[in-house]
Amino acid sequence: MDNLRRYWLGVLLAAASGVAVIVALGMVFFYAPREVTMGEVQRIFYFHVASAWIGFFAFFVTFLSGIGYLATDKRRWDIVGLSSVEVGLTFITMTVVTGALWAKPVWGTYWTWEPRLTISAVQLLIYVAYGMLRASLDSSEQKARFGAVYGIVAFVTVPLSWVAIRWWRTIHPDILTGGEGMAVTARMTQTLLVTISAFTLLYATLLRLRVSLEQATDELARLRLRLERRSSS
Amino acid sequence: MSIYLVAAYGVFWIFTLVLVLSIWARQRRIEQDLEAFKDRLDRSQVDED
Repeated sequence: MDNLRRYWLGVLLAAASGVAVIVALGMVFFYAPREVTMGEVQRIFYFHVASAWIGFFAFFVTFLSGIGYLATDKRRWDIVGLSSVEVGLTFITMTVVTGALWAKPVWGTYWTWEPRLTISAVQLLIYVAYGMLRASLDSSEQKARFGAVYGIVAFVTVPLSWVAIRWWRTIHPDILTGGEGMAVTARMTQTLLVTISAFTLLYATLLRLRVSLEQATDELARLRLRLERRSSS
Repeated sequence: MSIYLVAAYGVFWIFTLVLVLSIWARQRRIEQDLEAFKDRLDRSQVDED
């Protein structure tokens, strides 16, 4: 009964995130006005900002899970932390790629080594390294402890990325204040908020899927151990 | 419509699809392994009896 309820909750969450993403897409293309300076290409911003937001949120969840694991030694914290890194990496990669696609027509280049972009590139590599270094360890306890500490330390890149456009001279626009010649209207803000909400639902769906994969991996490891014990006795 | 705009929204769908398919493929493989292990455990139980 509990499994059935969990299954239908998952289906409901997936359906809700699918509908929310379609609504967000509709608003991006049919509700939000055409920005006067950048034109059509400014519409990239809605999904670009929302994916950055979710990437940061995912790494924040990993940060909290790291603290949770170190405080309790419970495997479920490690599962959430690891799963959230994988989902967060997908969203941060989306952010970097969509940002480059926006930059080409606006800045005339796909990439420039200004503070925000440089920090994003470093952040991406740091979280890719999380998976690679973790996989190189032997025991699950070592992996979990390493993942927890690494997830807490690596999180420093999130506030750093946030303040980069405020502390240093940069050409990256600030979406909240509408800087760098970008005229943000009420409809644009509403569209951005709906897109962020849709991405939050999508993140919850993907995290749930990734967590259940990790739980199945644990179940497999338990069965393998039982079988080994039985065949050795 | 700008090619960059189309490419950016294409990137979103491709990345989401790749993540979902990769999770689904790994889940399927693990479920197949789980079934195989459960069968082996059941068989070893019968042998012991």
